[in-house]
This record gives sequence, C-alpha cells and structure tokens, in this order.
Amino acid sequence: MKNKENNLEENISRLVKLSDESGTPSAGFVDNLIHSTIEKLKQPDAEVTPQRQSRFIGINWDKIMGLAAVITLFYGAGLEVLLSGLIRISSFFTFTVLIAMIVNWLVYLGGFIL
Amino acid sequence: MSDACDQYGWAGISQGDPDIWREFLSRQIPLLYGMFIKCWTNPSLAEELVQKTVFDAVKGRNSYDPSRASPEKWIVGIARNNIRLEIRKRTSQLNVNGDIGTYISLIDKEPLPDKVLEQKETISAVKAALARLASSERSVLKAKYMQGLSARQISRQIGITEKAVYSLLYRARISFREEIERTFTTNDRDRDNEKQRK
Repeated sequence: MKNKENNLEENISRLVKLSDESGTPSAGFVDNLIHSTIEKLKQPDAEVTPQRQSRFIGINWDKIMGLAAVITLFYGAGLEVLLSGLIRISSFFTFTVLIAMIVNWLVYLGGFIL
Repeated sequence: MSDACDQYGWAGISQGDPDIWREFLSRQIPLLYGMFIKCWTNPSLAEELVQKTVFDAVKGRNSYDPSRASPEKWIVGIARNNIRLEIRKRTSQLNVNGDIGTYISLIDKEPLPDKVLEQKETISAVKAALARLASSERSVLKAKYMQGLSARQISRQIGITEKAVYSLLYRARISFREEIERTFTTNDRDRDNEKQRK
C-alpha cells in the first residue's frame, strides 16, 4: 500500500514538473542539493574517496583450491579407467604414468593459481 | 566566479572548502540543468543528472588538477560524461510501444519510463489535466513539485495550516490522476471514432 502511494507520488511529481517551461531548476532543488553537497563535503575523506583495493583481496582461495582438487580427481579417475583397459602395459608402468601425470597437473595448477 | 573564488577557489575545490563549493554550485547548478534539459525535455531526469554530476564531482574532487582546467570546465566534463552514460543506458531500454494511456493507468504500480514522460502527448496531457483542476489544487501541486517547497513553506505562502496543506495535496493528487486518465481515455475514444469514420 505504501509502495503504491510512493509510486503515485513520485510519478505525479515527475508529471507535474513536465509543465515547467522555465528551463531553470527550482530554488528548492538548488538549495537542497547545495545543502546535501556541503554535508557530503563534511564527511571524512576516507568515506568520500574509496581506497583502491588489493587485487588479491577479492580472490576466493577456498573455491579455487576446491575446483582444482575436483579437476584433479576427475582427471585421475578418467586416466585410471583408460589405463586399466590397456592390459598389455604392466601395472607398475601404469602406476608410474598415472602418478607422473597427476603430479604434472598439480604443478601446473599450483603455478597457475599462485 | 567572484574575486574570492578566483583567488582561492581552484584550490578550495579540491580541498572541499564548503564556502567555495557553495558559491561554485550556486552558479553551476543552473548551467548544468540547462545542459541536461537541452538533451531531454524531462525536468526530473535533468535534476537527477545534475545531482549525479555534483556528487561525482564531490567524490572525485581530490583528483581535480587546477593546472589542467578551471573548475567550471572540469564539472562540465563530468556532466558530458554523464550524458554519454545516459545515452548508452537508453540504447538498451525498450521503446515506448502502444498507447501512453496504458502506462498512465499503471501510475501507482510502477515508475513511469523516461521515454513516456518525454512524449509530446504526455506533456500536453499534463498541461490539460492541470488546467482542469481547481486553482487551489493546481497551485499546491505546482508549489510542491515544481517549486520544491515543503508543506510548512506552502502553509505560510497560502495562509493555511500545515495539516490543511497535506489534505489539500492528497485531494489534488487524486484529482490530477483522474484528470490525466480522463484525458487519455478521451484521446483513445477520439482515435477510435476517427478510425471508424475512415
């Protein structure tokens, strides 16, 4: 109900202003704007000018590490399924290749993230 | 600018000196308003953009370099940037489709789009609706919304109590709404009759 009244008041205000052909702002508007600007100027600088944030602050490390772990697991599982099919290759060789690839991926992801 | 402003103003702008800013703004606000109203015949939008420009200037006052431009040129640059942003915003907005009466009938449900307000049909309907109101209702609406007066200021101007101003404003808003809706209903009926005649 209140929202309805606000919309109505706001829209009527905008419509009534359309009939103003003076091309100049109202004295009330100028006074209010000057007053609120002076109030803003009295605020401490830190509130007025936002400090530049460090580019690392916004990074969500938990999310990135979680994503890296999930990728590694899926990659390892996929590789295991693929290699288990290759029965001709000895289990030792399979294990070595698998470990080497996982370590490679971890090194790559570690370098990418850090 | 006055002599005082010429001497100290440029540094006072970046230092946020309230007196310098007061004088600076009292000169610049009408000029900025004129710039915006030339682009869009929409006083509420012009006011909104003037306010945004002034607040942007306050926010960025530390970056103002007096050796590069005068404060007037600097704030006009900010205003031009806001005009560019507004133009860009408008390209993504939908055009006003259908008759304006539909938008007017939703006057208490959602904000009227700027493009509706800027139609010649809307402006003439507003003038017609205001002309049909009782003179007390018309003058209270103009005092409140065009001159930006408070209820207390209006009560002093008209010579009635503040409570009476609120009730007059309430009645004036209802009457204005009825009149403007009637204008669009009549326009639609005329249009339909013309179509049938053809």
